[in-house]
Order: sequence, then C-alpha cells, then structure tokens
Amino acid sequence: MFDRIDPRSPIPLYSQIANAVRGAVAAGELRAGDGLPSVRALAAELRVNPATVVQAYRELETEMLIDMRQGAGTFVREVPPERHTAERRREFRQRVRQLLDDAARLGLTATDVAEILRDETTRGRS
Amino acid sequence: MSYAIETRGLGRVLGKGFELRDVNLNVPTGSIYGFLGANGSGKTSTIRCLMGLLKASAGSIRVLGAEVPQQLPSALVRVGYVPEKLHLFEKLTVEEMIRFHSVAFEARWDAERGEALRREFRLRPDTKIQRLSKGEAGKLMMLLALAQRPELLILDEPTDGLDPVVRRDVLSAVLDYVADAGATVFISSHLVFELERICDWVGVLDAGTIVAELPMQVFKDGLKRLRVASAPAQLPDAPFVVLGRHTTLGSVEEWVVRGWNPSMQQWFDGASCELRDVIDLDLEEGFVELLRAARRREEGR
Amino acid sequence: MNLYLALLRVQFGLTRPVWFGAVIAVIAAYATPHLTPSTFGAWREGGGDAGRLLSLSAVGGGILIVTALTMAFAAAASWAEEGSRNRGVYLMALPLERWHLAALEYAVAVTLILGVGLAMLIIGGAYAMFVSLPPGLHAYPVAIAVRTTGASLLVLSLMFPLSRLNVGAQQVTARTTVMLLVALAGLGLWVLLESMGVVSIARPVFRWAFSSGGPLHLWVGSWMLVDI
Repeated sequence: MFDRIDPRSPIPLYSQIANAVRGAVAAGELRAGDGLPSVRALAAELRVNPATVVQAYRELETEMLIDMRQGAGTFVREVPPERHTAERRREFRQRVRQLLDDAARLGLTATDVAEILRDETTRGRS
Repeated sequence: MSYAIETRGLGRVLGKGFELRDVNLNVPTGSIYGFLGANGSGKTSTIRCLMGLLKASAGSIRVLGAEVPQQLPSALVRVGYVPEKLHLFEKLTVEEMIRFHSVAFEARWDAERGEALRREFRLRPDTKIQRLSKGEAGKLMMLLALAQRPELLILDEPTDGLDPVVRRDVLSAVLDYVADAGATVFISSHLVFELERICDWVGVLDAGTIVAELPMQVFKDGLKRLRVASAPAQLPDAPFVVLGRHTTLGSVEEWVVRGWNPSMQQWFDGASCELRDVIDLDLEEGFVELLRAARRREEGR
Repeated sequence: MNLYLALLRVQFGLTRPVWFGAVIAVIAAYATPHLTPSTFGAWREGGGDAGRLLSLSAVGGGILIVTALTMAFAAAASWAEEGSRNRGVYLMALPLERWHLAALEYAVAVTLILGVGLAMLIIGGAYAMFVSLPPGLHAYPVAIAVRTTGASLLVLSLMFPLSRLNVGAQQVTARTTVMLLVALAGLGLWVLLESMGVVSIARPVFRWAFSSGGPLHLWVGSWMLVDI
C-alpha cells in the first residue's frame, strides 16, 4: 500500500502517505473497521519522521476517513459509496492535471489534448 | 519556539587554515534535524563541541537549556550520543558494556528497551566488543544511546560505512524511539538521500560555517531548476537567490534557484527574459548546488 | 552497583595481568632467599642469622621495587590510554563533572594497588607462620607490605596528574604523556641501579635525596631492610 512513497518527489511525504490511504480505501483494499499501522510502526517501516505520519493521519481524520482512537489504534471509518466514486474521480483529476502540465511543456493546446484523448478512448473501445 | 541545541557564534581553530567560525545552530525541540555537510566540513568537530569533548574558543553553546561546558553533566545525562567511531571498551563483552552503561545512566536506564533492542539487533551478550562487525558495533552504540531514554539524540554519521540492511534497522530503531518518546534528533550525515525522508529541519555546514538552516519542506519547496530563455547577464532585482547558471541549448539557460515560490513567475513578465519551465529538485541536487554556490562565493572573496 | 564499582570491574578486567603478575612477584620476592642453594639447608634447620637473611633478601627487595613501579605506571598509564583513544570519548560523554571522573579513576587505581597490598599482607603472614624468623624481625612482613604499597601509591599520585594532561585535548598531548612516563620509568631504573651501586652519578645529590628525611628516602637501599 505504501510502496510508492518517494522522498525525492516534490509532493510532501505526508500527502503521499494520505494519498496512499485514500487510494486503498477508494479501491476497496481497506474496508470500514480495518486497522491502519500505528504511527510508530509506519514511521519505522517507511523510515520517515513520525511527525509526518501524524500529519497524514490528522489530515485523513479531518476528512472523516479514519478514526484515531486513543490507545486503541487507527481505523478506517464507514464511508458512503458515493464518496468512493468522488474519491476516484478526484484522484484521476489530479493525474489529468499533471498530464496537462506536461502537454503545456510540449507546447500542445487544449484542443490538441482533447483530440488525442478522444482518439485514445475510441481506440481503446474498438 | 524552544531549542534543544542553540549555539551563538561558535568558533574553534581545528587545523591549518581550517576552523569553525560563527556557527549558529537552532535545533527546535522535538524536531529531527539533519546536519548536512561534505566530509571534512567540520560536522564532527561541531558535535564534539556540543558534547563538551572539544572546547570552543568563541561563542556560546546551550544543550537542553544547559550551558556547555559549565553545566555539562546536567545536559549529558539527557543526551544519547553516537560518535562516528567506536568508543566503547573493546575488551568488554556486549553484556558487560550494557551493564556498565546502565549503571552510568542509572536514573534513566530502560532495561526493557535495552533487552528488546539487543534481541532485535541480534547481538549476542557474550561477544567481545572487539570481535563485533562494524554493523554490530554501530547497533550496540545505538542501543546504548536509545536505552538511556535521552531527550536529545546526537548522532554523528550513525550509518556511515554500514550496509543497507543495518542502516535500515538502525534508522528504524531511532524513529521508533522518537515516535514513542518524542525526543529531538540531531543527525549528521553526508548521505543526503538518507536524511531526505526523515528530517524536518536541515542545517548545512560548509568549510566550518553554516550556509543554510531552514525547515526541510521550505528548503525543498524553494529549490527549483528554472529554464529561462534570453536571460540577461545581470539579475539585480530577482526575488529569489540564483545559486547557479548553466547554458544549455541555444539561448536557453538553466538556473538553480533557492527561495522560489509560484507567485514569482510574475517577475518574469516585467523582466526581459522568458520563463520556460520550473523543475523540482530533490534534496541531494539542491544540496550540491547550494555547496557549489557557497564555494564560489568563498573564492570570489 | 554504583559507578565506582562498575569502573573498578572494567579497569581490573582491562589490566588483569598486571595485578596477578604483582601477586606472583610478591610470592617470588619472599621465596628468593630460600631458593638460594647455600642457604636452603640452613633454613630447614631453623638456624641462620639475621644479617645473612637481610643481605639475601635485598634480591627479593629488587623484585618488590619493580613490582611497585609497574603497578603505579600501569594504573596511571591505562587511564592515559583511555584519554588518547576513542574510549576516552566514552568516559567523557558520561554525565559526570571532569573532577568527579578523575576522582573515580584515581580511586579505582588506588583500590587495585591496595588490593595487591592486602595480598602482600596475607602472603607475608603465611610466610611468617611457616618460616621461623630471627628475633627482632617479626613485624617484617607487615612493614614490607606497607612500604611497597606506600611507594606504589606515591608514584601513582605523581603519574596520575600527568596521565590526565591529555584529557579533552589532542593526540599530541597523549604522546607527550607517554614520553613523560618513559622518562620517569628511566629515572626509576637509574635510582634502582644507583641504590644497588651499579651506577654512581650525581652521588652528592642522591645522598641528600635518599638520606633519611630526604624526599626519595622511601626508595633507598635494600627494601627488605626496614627500621623496626
């Protein structure tokens, strides 16, 4: 689940950790009631600052995605299915944005991108 | 903000033409502070000053609120120290050494943690220290430092020369302790990639002076490589610091800058040059460029 | 267990050969007069005169001088080594005042030398029980133990501050200390040779220094000859 954490990426480590959890929940890998590793264990495993893990978990907690219970551990909350869909869309949107940045760097216009996208989706279906 | 380590104008002559001068460190309490610098930049000597092993000839040092060297013992009892070279009694066995250390730090010693770490590190109690491998010796030093329940860990190149597996074990043990006890960690290394993921503060030492000290995220966020077309020779009013300029193809130059933020793109609208691209740098690249810039400045003097 | 005992254990462990060697040397010192073939028979018969015993025991006395010196040098030098090697870093990073650490180290060195002194008393006591001493020499084993221990502690007290010179400083000072120790060992040897009459340089100076009341009187002549 946390395999893709990359310290050299410009995305802050805590966001990467939070994204990994969001992704796993959206994909159904983590279900309501499942436990997340403790801050201590995850920090030691990923060799990141414990404060970074805490920051990621706090962010997820404000999003009502997880529940940090003092002394008992951290658990995934019950999430309505719409939210999963919304979450998947959100994640995909993020990737599209990166793609658009790349397109801009290559000097392609929005029309070019839309055209390529249409081509690729029809080709994928046929 | 309170500081676990605070130095003001620390100075000390170390050798011919080499000295620590005006070293100001501010290590926030609870942070993991990466003390970066090339080999021979004065990191170890700075640490030896903090530990009272080397007398500073100028400036003041406070470690955990205690003046060094005047109130040294009251600081040292709360400091776990791992030096770069093995400093233990070589003729003792692992068990005897642990026992000695536990007596020296009697009031704070955590026997349970010591034993747990000994098992985790797979150190046999009856092995003589002189027979330990480099990795095992490093683990033993870390065990002693962690089991004395320090408020501050001062680690001098704790993973230098260790194989990747041992490095991982040792760092994990440190992070496990920090998560548990909330201690401050001051860790020196020339292995920048290793510190990138664990530190929240960085201080960079070069040729005996601090060339940068800032939160890791600020350091990383502010470091960019800009691709700039038709750049002028002089940049008098740039809002960022240009650490280095290289010409690439044609009229396009690459600038490595520090202190960047996205709103600075507007500056290019007013300037005669054109910003083509903003590329992220990782800590190691940023570190290298920072040192190059510092050395150019030094030579220019 | 306190730090003094822990340090004593460590120091004893690191310099074990010196202390066992010292005890063996003491036994040898007592035994030498009896191993001389010409006297062996006489002792068995319970005879022998005090004068002859004393002249023979000068040999054993030489052994004791060397033992006392070795103990003092070893005890002081082992701490000097601590300072010059990385292990000194370990001791200095302990939460102790510098004087406290030095006091502990000194106390440990004194304890180890006193330990050998105690062994001397026991060996001497046993010797006095099994060998019939000539009249007037019954306090002899006690006096000789006190004298040897005292001499060793005196040398230690001179050497110890020297061994501390390097603490907190560079390796260069450690080398200086070793040189000083060697120089003093040479001086000790000279004193020994002088007292045995092999060498006689600066006789007037020595006569004063080693005369009763002189600063080095403790080291004079045949050690086994004690004022009783």
